[in-house]
Amino acid sequence: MEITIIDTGFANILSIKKAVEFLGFNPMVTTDPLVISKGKHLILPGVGAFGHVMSHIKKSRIDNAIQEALVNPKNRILGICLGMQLLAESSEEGIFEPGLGLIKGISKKISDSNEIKVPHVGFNSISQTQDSQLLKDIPSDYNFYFLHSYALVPENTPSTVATVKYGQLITSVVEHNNQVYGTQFHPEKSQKTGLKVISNFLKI
Amino acid sequence: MLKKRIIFSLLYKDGMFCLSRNFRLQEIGDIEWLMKSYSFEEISGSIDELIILNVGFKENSKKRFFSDIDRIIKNFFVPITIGGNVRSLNDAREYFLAGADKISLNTLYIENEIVATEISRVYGSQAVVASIDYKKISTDSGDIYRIYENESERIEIDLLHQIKKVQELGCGELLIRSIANDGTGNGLDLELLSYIPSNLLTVPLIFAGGIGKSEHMETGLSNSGIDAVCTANLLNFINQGLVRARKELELKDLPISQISY
Repeated sequence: MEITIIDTGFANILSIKKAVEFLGFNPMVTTDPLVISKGKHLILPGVGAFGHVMSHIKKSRIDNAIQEALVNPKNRILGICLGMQLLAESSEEGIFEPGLGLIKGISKKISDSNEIKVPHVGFNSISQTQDSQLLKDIPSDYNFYFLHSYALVPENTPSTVATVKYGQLITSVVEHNNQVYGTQFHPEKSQKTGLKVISNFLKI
Repeated sequence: MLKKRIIFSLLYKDGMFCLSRNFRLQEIGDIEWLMKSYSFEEISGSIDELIILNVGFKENSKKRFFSDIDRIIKNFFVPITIGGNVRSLNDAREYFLAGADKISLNTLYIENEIVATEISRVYGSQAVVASIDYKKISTDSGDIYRIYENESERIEIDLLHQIKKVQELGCGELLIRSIANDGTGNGLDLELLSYIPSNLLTVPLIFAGGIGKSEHMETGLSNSGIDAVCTANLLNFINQGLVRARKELELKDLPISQISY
């Protein structure tokens, strides 16, 4: 099994690497488009502002490499937090750069109010809305760690398999065509049950 | 529902983990002492986040700081904030590479607003915690609250002004700490919350200074203005202290995540 963690230049790579290693695997961390294009399980982590990270991804030709890897229908990608938003077509955050376009939709700022402070920070319980490969054997009201100001709004709701309530309903897990997966929360920061989500992805 | 958080904080100075009392540091032990006194793999199931602050000044201690962090966060799957001595975008980058999900900025908001704003722009607001330490000063015309950049130079800034400013400059969370209550173990300065107009806070508030036992966490977590409580009391929660505190709090009717079963 080849697990490739994509180093976008901004993300906290260490946490996801440690998580995958804890599960007993030996992931490769890389910026090399050639390596990425041959990855079977790609993981796209995310700290950073959408525009900055996307422009780095384009410059490093990581976007083409991801497209190339996904030509093989057996290869998969998991986007985490900003990584999930990068799967979308674009974002309202920062300098304008189109996203990877693997999921139809855009990333929008969470609307704040008196009760709702932005960013959305902390453990929050998700609601599964459809069958899910990532959430297999996860307790239905489990709390995952969220840390974000923007959220992916998919154009086709069938991609959304779980939501989270924070003022509005926010897409918390996406699964698309058995190839493209994303979690808005950080499974690698959500205690040991969070690691189960990563383990589920690696088993797909 | 979004849960409130219990945060543990470590103060690190040139190789030693410290206890702070009214912002005077007392060195307690090095990494070997810390690893003997706390099982981080175990307490990762009892806290929602960890904050590690480097309050040392020796440039050459950085390498040791990072290798000590490595040992603490091995098999530790909760969010980590690292702070202290961030002066440039590159300092921030080094902390993210060392395993930080967020970085905390304090003096930078006073010394260099441009760099502070740039860090939020590049890494996103959610990755930046603004840390503010304050003191209450009683005057004839009532109480005023000031923040101090440096106790010896006494650069005094109005607390409310600073809270407004750091949010405008793009921080994603506020970590506010009472210097008077710090390390006393006598409880949080909840009076402050009635002094801060509620519409002034648009980002989550982490409140610190004075927590010495789980009851103090409970009072903080029951307060509608507080999103997270933080303690850096290295001795009161030693060994199984954090595990016990979490178990006690989970039995109460508090909006926290049930993780310690």
